[in-house]
Amino acid sequence: MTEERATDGFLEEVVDRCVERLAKGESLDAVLASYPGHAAELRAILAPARVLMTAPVPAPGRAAQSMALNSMLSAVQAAQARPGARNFVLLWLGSLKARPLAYQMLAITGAALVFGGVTLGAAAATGSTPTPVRRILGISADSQHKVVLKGTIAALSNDALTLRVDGAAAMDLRTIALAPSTTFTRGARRIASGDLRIGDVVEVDAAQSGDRIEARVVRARDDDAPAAGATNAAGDDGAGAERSPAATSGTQVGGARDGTGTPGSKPGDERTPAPGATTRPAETPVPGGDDGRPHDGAPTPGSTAKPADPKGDRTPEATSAANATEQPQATRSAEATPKPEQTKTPEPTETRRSGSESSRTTTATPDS
Amino acid sequence: MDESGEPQNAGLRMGEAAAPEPRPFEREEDLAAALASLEPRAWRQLFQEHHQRVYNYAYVRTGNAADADDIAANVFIEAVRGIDRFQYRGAPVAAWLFRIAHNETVDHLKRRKRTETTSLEHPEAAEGLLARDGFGTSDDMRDVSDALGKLKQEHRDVLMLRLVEGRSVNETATLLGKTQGAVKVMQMRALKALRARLDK
Repeated sequence: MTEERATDGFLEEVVDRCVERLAKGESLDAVLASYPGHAAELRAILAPARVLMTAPVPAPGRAAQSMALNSMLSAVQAAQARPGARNFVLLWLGSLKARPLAYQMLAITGAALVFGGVTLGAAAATGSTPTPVRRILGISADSQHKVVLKGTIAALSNDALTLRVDGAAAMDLRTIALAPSTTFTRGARRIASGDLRIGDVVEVDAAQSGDRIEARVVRARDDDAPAAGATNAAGDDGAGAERSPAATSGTQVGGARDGTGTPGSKPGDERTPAPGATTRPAETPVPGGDDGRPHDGAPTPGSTAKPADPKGDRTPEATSAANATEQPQATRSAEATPKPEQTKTPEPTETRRSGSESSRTTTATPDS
Repeated sequence: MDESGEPQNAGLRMGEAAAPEPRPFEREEDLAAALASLEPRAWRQLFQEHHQRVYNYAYVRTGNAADADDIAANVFIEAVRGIDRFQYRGAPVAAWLFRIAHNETVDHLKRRKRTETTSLEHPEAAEGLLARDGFGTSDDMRDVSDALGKLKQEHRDVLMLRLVEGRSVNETATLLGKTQGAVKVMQMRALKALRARLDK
């Protein structure tokens, strides 16, 4: 091989060629013979290279290799189980570190605008912050307020009860929806929803979300439980104590579903009967009912033959807006209960309940 | 040194001789992202492609197969633990892996040095320790290995790839994220630096 002149920048090429030849198995002397003018310099450089190239490196043992692979995969699994290891936001923020400052600023500003816009837009549209946003911000997803209402049951249906708030005027009624999860107690006993009676004095733990109040626990006072078959239609304040002809005849009291009920009920909302929607003729003995009330689903004599509520867990609800409007006597019964337009529920005075919960506890008291 | 011309480092090309494994992540950035996401496939690929190289490096530095096995295993475990801090900036993942390998090897050598110092109080034990070294009593290899460990990272990498693993300039350039010209310059400088270390 002819000698090549190793100038600056070209010496690297010569060394590389020498390395290639050594790797092919040529001896160092044979390689250096091609560059006699630089043999000494090249020998000094290539001698340790030759040592490295001839290092007798054995292959790793298969067992050790397999163990190493398993150890690594176990470490991967352990890392996956670490909380937050795959947190998208953190990963994204971490990846920004490798970007130029201008890019970082732009990306963060853009993300803030998009995030803020979505949050505000959704909040404006729905009235509440979207759940994913609440999760990211660590805000409690519970937007309901806890309320405690005390009073007398003025009306009762499958899925709602109307409560005359203690101390309030006759028109101060609250309609409280009953959920399947609602629990009922009388004294220390747990009772079924059907065991409640009009006139029962109850305390209701409820959750208020917007206009809707949903009962969680309904506690009836044991000693005030009215005798079976002698229940006043309107509770213990005397209002509405007169027996309603409609009730006695089984005819439904008007206004049950006319959508003009208490605050909180919306027009057409069938879940919240209006005040005075006495859906159960409490004083009418009913066959099969040892407490003066019919068995579930049993039709009340004299009722307008409206079959039992599809849910079938209450007295036959002959409640019908049509009946109510067709039968004038229904309005007489309604005298015992406030007229819808007169119904005015006092603004609840709020008392903050101390504790970790951010929810409000509202004790309903009448305005004086 | 062997001047017979017969290549003796047959183990160096074992990784190359193995059947090619499918590469789920062809692009380096995809592999880096998948590693960061702790995808087992990505980690398996990293292991299959680099375990031999890490082992070779550890062996050249320690001269002991068992030590090289331990170091190679620890390198990948440390890589998993440190992936949260890894930022892909265009450099190959292998370069990051070799930094870990270097650190692990240095730590291992420090620990071994302490052990050897203790063992020297018992000549028989020290003799046994040297005997199980693959390098035996080859002073040349020991000196070169020690000098290699004191080089700059990029110099060490290029010498490992070109001389120990027998990679071509093109492969080395790809693995290091450099041009072929840059690899040749680095190789030249690395060899000079190695010589300088040996002369000290």
